[in-house]
Order: sequence, then C-alpha cells, then structure tokens
Amino acid sequence: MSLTGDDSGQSVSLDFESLVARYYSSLYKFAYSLTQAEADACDLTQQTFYVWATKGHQLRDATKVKTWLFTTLHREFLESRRRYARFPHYELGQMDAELPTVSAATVNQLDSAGVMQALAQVDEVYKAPVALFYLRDCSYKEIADILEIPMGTVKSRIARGIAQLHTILNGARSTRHKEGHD
Amino acid sequence: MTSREAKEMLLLYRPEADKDDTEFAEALQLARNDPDLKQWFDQHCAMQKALFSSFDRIAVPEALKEQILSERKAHVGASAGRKATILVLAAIPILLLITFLVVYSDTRRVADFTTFRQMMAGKVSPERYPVMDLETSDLGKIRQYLAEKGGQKDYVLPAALEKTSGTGCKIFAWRGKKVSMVCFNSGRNSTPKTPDLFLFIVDRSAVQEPPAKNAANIEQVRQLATASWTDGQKTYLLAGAGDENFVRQFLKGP
Repeated sequence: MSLTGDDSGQSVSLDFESLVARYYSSLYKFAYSLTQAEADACDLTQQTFYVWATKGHQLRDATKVKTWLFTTLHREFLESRRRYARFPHYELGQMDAELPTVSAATVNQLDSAGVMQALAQVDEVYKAPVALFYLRDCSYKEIADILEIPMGTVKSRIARGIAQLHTILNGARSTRHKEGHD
Repeated sequence: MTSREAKEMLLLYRPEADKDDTEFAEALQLARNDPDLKQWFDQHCAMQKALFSSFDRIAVPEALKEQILSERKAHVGASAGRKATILVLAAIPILLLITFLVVYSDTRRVADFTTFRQMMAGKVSPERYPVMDLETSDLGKIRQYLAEKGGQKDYVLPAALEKTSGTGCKIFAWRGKKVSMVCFNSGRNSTPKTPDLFLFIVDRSAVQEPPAKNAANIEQVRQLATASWTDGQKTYLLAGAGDENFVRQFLKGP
C-alpha cells in the first residue's frame, strides 16, 4: 500500500491493519464520548472501519485519512441519532450565562465516569466539538473539517460546551454534597 | 479586551498546544495582570487538566482491534465465497455442507463461555469500569432496577455476596444478549463507592458450554480472579481484584 503524509506531517500507511492500529483507540474514545455506551461506541468504531474498507479508495488526498475517519464516525453517529430524534436548532449569539467558576473540590473529585455522565448532559450540538477538544487528537482546523462546520463555529461551540460541562460538574458536586450519597 | 472577553478566549486555551499561539497572547497578558482573572484562569487550568486526564483514561475494550480486523477478513472472505459459489454450482450439496460446518463452528467459537469470561473480565478493574446505569449501595434497589429495565430477574446470590455492600449496576448487550452487571465493594479499601467485585449475570442459553451447575470454576484472568457457575437458567461470573482466596470467600453459602 502507498505511504503518504497525514495532516500532522507524519508518514502513515493506508494499509487497513496499520490504519486500525493507529486510529482505533482514538476513534473509540471519540465514539464513547458521544454515546457514553461501550457497545454503541464499539459499533460506531467498527462501522467506521467497515466504511473505510468499502469506500476508502475514494479518498483522493491520503493526508486527510484521519479527518476522513473521524468525519465518517461522526456522520454514522448523527445518522443513528436521526432515527430517533430531530436535532434542535441553536442560535449562535453571545453566551447567556456567566462563565462558571470552578471549585477546587470539583477538580479533585473528577473521574472518567463522572465526566462522561456530565458530557451526556451537554447540549447535543456541543458534544462532538467538546469531545474532540478534550481528546487532544485534533487541531481546531481538523475539528472544523471533521464536523464540516466553519472554524469560527467550532470555537464558539467548544467554548459554550466547555462552559456547560463545567457548570454541570459543579452542579453535580453540589448536589452530592447536599444530599449525600447512598 | 475586557475580562469577560479574555475568559471567553481562555476557555479555548490548551496549555501545551496553544502556548505559542498569538491569538491568546492578549488574553494571557490580561490574566497575568488582573488578580481576579488570574485566579479564575488558574482554577480553569486545573479543571481543564483534570478533564483532559479523564478523557485520556477512557478505557478501550481490549478485543476491539481484533474484532475490527476479523470482521474485515470475514467480509473479504464472504465476497470470495460468493464468487466460488457461482463457479461450483454442480457441487452445491458439498458446498452447503462445508458452509454449515464453517458457520456452526464459527458460532460456537464466538459465543462460548471462555470468550464471554475473557470479554467481561476485560471490561473491569477497580481503576476503570463501565459507567453505571444506577449507583447505589442497596442491593434491593439494584435488583428492582434490573427487573424493571430488562435486566436479569430472579437471580440468586451466594449468601456471602448478599451481605456485601453494592456500588451499582449496569445492563448492556453482548452478542445480542442482555448481560446484567452488579458491582460490589468488599470493604477492603477505604472508598466505599469504588467496586472491587463485579458479578456478570446472563441467561444460561446465551453462552455455549456454560460452567457447571452449583460448583464454582475458578480461573485467573489477568489481574482478576474469576469464579463462574450456573444455577438454574442463569450463568454467573464473579470477577474480583485479588487472588482466588479473595473471590472464594464471597461464594460461601449460609
């Protein structure tokens, strides 16, 4: 198979096994961030590579393979969601609420499970950009390409999504502190 | 640039990736000079660091890579098989027999209890485990939740396990079958909400070659000691973060 550069300038083989080895972990984490369900995340990841196996030869610019894979996974996720719910329309204007102040106690109590639960409560339109932001695999440009939206929109959604996530985490900690836990 | 504008900008700041990005320079300078903004930014960075770490710790199922590769091979094999069928129409009876044997043996390989045990043990440890559907120490509430949400009903726990504190439960699918996971905290550590015992319950018919009835089979799977048994129409797999003796104490009857 041909060797060519990817978006980061590193060489990457387009051999199926090499692509799987290189990207399956980060794709799974992105899928899990979107679905918060291991089985659904596995299905999305497998489906992405299945689509690559059948349609990857159509990719003309091999340096875009990473973006192609993440975009495909995101599209598959959206398609699965469309079967059950319509996407609400969000107006992008000024942020309404005050930017949250983060407490040290919240920081100390963070764990992956709690963060995923909080992410599940973030507005749907912010979830994917926020997940890609925190996964650290992608630049802002790559995130824009993956989500097929302009750079300005990406940054706006990430900023609002982060603000929501922090607010949810602070609120969850306050609730547990007041009511106790089983 | 106002303080609020700086905060909105700094929400997007990633310390390693963006440290040389001039887009953040003005906001960072403002944060250095404004004590209130600096305090907010320091706390924000601490939160961001913890969040980045949380995402890093998302556990990837160990068998996922092999699953992807094997399904790719199966897809390629299926395409070749269809072409072979066209070419050897005269040998249909033999071809059907070969197809039956391949599918049958492949089904057994995929759905046997050994695979189930490997997959379930691969999902859990005290450091990482699936997000719970319900978090509670009350085993009665767990039982009720599972019964109401399509999980296992009428399961029977060993007496020693009935006296152990729960931490939560989850229902998930495995090969199209429902699996109920009940989590416990043995009391060995100082964090009562952290499970170190994981009980997987599945219909006996969901796995090939289930473990023996009423006699626990002990196996070590990586860092976990596992005990498995069948009781009635249910198969149980108990995985514990410890050795065989640790798990055995929870199998004791009244």
